[in-house]
Amino acid sequence: MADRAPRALARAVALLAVLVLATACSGIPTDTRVRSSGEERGAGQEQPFVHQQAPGPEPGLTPLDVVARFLAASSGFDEDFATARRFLTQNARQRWQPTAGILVYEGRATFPAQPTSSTQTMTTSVVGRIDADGRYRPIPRTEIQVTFQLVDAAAPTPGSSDDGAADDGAADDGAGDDSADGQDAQWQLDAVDASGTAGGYTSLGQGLLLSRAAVERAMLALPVWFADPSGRALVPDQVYLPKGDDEVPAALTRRLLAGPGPGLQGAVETAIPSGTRLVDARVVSGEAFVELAGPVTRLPAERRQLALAQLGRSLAAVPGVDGPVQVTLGTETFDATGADNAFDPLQETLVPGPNVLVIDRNGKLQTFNPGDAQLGVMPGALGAFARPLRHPARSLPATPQRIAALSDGERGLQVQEPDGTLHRVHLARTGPLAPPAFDAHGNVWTVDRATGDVLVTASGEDAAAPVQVPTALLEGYRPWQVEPAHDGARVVLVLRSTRQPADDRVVVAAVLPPAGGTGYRLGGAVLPLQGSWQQVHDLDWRSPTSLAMLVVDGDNSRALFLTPGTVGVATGPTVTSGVDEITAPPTRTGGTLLVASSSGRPAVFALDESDGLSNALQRGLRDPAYAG
Amino acid sequence: MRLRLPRFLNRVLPARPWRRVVAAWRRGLRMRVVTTTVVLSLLVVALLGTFLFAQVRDGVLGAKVDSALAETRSGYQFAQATVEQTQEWTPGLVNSRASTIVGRLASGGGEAGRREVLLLPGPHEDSDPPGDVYSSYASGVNTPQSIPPTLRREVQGQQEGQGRTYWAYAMADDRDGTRVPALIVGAALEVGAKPYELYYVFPLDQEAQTLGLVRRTLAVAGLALVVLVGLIAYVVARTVVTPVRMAARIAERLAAGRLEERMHIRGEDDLARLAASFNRMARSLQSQIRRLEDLSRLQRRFVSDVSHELRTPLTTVRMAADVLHSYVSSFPPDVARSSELLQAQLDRFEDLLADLLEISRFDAGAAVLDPEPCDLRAIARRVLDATEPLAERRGSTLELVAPEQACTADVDGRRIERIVRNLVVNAIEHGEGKPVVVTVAADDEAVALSVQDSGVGLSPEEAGRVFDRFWRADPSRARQTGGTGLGLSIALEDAHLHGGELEAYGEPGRGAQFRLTLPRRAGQELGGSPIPLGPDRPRFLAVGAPYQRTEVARG
Ligand SMILES: Nc1ncnc2c1ncn2[C@@H]1O[C@H](COP(=O)(O)OP(=O)(O)OP(=O)(O)O)[C@@H](O)[C@H]1O
Ligand SMILES: [Mg+2]
Repeated sequence: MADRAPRALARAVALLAVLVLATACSGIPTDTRVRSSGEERGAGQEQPFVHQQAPGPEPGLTPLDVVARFLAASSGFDEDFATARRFLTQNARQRWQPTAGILVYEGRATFPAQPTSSTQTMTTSVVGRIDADGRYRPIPRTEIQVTFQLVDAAAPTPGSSDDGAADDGAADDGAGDDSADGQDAQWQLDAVDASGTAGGYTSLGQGLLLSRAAVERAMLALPVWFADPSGRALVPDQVYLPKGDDEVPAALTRRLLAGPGPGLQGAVETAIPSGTRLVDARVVSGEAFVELAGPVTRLPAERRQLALAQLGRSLAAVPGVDGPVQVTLGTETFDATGADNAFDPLQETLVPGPNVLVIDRNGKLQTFNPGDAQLGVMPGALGAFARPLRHPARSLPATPQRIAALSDGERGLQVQEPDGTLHRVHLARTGPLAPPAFDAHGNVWTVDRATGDVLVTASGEDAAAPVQVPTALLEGYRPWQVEPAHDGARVVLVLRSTRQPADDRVVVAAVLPPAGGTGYRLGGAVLPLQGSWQQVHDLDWRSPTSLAMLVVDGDNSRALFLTPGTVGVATGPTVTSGVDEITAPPTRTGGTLLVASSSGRPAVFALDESDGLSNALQRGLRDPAYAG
Repeated sequence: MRLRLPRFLNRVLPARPWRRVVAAWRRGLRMRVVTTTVVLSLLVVALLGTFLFAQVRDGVLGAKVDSALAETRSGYQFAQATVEQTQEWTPGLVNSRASTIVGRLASGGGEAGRREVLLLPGPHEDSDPPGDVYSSYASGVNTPQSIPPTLRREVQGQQEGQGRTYWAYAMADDRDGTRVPALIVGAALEVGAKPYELYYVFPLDQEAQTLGLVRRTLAVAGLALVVLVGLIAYVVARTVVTPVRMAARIAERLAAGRLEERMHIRGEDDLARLAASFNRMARSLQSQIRRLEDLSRLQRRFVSDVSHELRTPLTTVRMAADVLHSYVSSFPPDVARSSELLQAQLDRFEDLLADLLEISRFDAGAAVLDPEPCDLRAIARRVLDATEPLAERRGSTLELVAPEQACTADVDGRRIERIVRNLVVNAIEHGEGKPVVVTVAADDEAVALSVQDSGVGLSPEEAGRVFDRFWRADPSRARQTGGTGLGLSIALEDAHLHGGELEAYGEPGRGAQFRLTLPRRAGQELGGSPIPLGPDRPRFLAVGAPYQRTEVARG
């Protein structure tokens, strides 16, 4: 045994040496074998959220500095307003309700008083308000004055006790800069007063004062999706959420569970029954996970599908979600990805082809292919219509094919039914009719511009019926054009002033379905759109949430793109002044926008969002119309 | 329960673990070799591991710092290019531009999302227009407070337009809420006329993970190496130590008298040579011892044979001398004196012969013990009674110190009496007329008897030799009684026959003490003695309880 051990040892040592040599040789490989990694990162490098931290209180600040810094720090959702609170007196801190709502102002705020005065007054323009539930409501732009009352924290005053200030200095230790604790700043903000202003903001208890830029930077407008009453289409409802934290999916889901906002009251429903509780919602490596409990777990399969569609579509828009949306209802987990497709009258993209209707020089209805600018023959009765036509429209691909156009000098509305029959469903007495448009149900909408009657011809009907419009909208204004959203639950209504020549209003109103013998009504809390224009030439829904408009802005015609329910400012390229018609493809993600000049020398152009007009695709054509 | 636990522990744990370890260390060559090797290799491996780790860490961090500095510089250049495009600055524009820069820098570049960008305005100056607010912008979870103040001072203190980058290691926040080590690179930048500081925060958690992996690997490999070295040392030590142990075992057996034990010789290495020389040594030792044994056997045989051969003629001579002596009164005085002399010398000769025969009986192993319970006090008294006349002649007094109770032991009374008599006679003869004290004592194990005089005494060297055969301290010293020099050696043999001990102590000119100690029962081991021996003995104090001094009558 003793003489066998060294041999075994030698063998082990040799093996070890070979191993050591083998590992020493394995450096960085130099062979040219091509390797690939299974992970594919989303190429969409969206800009990350940039946290803003306003400077905190410091010794030696003037009252004006304090007010300015407080306003800058008021958008600190991501730090729970810790910096902003440090500018407030103990008393004010208790009164302040930063989540009660937001008054949105725009433009440079001016402070006419001395920087050292203990009362500072800010003059600025208010443009809207975001309610506690996150819904933005524009307010007609008005100038307001906000008064800030400051107290000298160094000199004890009845308003703010020294003890309180010292305590809070200590409490801020963790977050604040340690240099100036205890005596953070000499001046502290004690009261804010904007009484008498529009939008309801009067004091600290009513929320935040934020500039439009701060809202756009610190908050995120996301749609939550509900269903139209027939349960066939999803309807977006924009809500504002603080950006930049992990709470977005949960906050968004909570908004969805809370039901539609005032703008859609009565026009939509939700498949998620009230009483449903949110257990958890989060995004993990691109996948969204939602867990709900309560009545939602006992839905019949069809309703559950709709609920999944609502959840899936809402959460898919959360930043960072680029994978499936997993919904857990009670104990069962469903993949909500794609569930929304069954509830969408729109396609993702448009099938290329002759998908546009145009009217040629002779007033004849033709088809037009924007891809190769080729005209085609429109089959059917309207294509063979003897008299000149204007403003054709076609129902969405998802519904039975219905085609409408204006005849009789734009006074008559002709509708060709899916079975080929042709009705003149309306003949206006005097005024021209607005260009007709279809909604998700195949209803065709128009406006009698002379009387201001909004008219709808439901699918299967052969006569147009008037639509009831809230009287508040009609004070000084008359409906000029109506454009139903593809979901059928909302319309955008252009109102022309009866007093001033160039003061068009544009509002989004909910469509209340017929109930108890009445016809269609417009209602809900009507949502005005903001932008600078004198007159609206034409508009169309570009996507379920956004609109494309052609407006007169000063001497120019301008295309505007805007999303109702957001603070976003409508922007777009200027176009030749004669261009006055616009049509957008019925898709979710866009496509070629077509514009046309109907008067003078008619022509059809493609419109690019940033570059403006293309060369004319085809001259001598007017009234281009995609489906819808 | 509480009582059982210590007992249990006692059983499990060695009584003195440290001593055990030390003892094992002292005794175990193998353990010493293995331990030393392991400790030394541990030291080397630790040093090497530390060096390697430092090397790897510097490499990893160096690469990271280089790429971080490069990225910061390109970001800085991008930011400067962006800033220079605009001329008219308002605080709002500065803020929005700062925010844009951070957004762009955070989304662009290498590993976006892993590192964070911060753009911080310089400190508030009193000369700043009131109402102007410049915010800090950060692309991630780190706030301006995450930047070490020293780094900020360094960046702020930089001269205009230098474009230098500074960096520092610090702890920073991670997205999952933990703190991770980070590399923070900073550069000064101007947005509008406002001084800003641009910081990149590079989390080093991946590097920390890599280094942790390296450290773990090094530790595991080092440990494995140490274990391997230990094993090798064990195997080697075993190869060497096993034959050494075997040699030790065989040497022990040799020492125990098994002279025929030999080591196995295997191979031709050093160990084989050791075994061969060992065996040679054993062989020569064995032959030497055999020779000596043979010699002493021969001597003993010679003594015994001579003694026996002398006996018969001596008996005849004796008988003749006795006949002569019976007519001594009728002899003329000079003849009568010769007859007296003959008689006396025959007595001495007979004594010598008897002693020699006794000795040779011991040598032949023929001495047999006939034990019976005897009281040592009685023996002492008998001897004292018998030697009283001699003592009187020498002018010595005899004294017996004995306890009241019996000092009984299983002994051969005749032999013990012979011992005691010899001791007492010696004491009287060398006592120079001074008193002789005999002490008897007993304890549970043993009984003892001491004879003490104050005569010529013994030097320590003499005390060591008194038991040698035929040895006398001063052969020229006048010898009154016999004196062959065999008495004490026979006494010692007798004492040993009992399993007892006979010891001597003396000081020249001050007397001598002899002590006989015997076990109570035959075959018992002796632990000590009830009577002390030597100078610090309590004089005239008997040991054993209760003590009582007994004067023995002298007549
Ligand atoms: N008590 C003593 N004091 C001094 N010397 C002593 C004493 N007892 C013995 N010796 C020394 O030890 C020697 C050896 O004593 P041992 O009894 O063996 O022989 P011995 O008395 O000479 O002869 P024998 O054989 O007749 O006893 C003595 O010669 C003497 O020198
Ligand atoms: Mg003697």
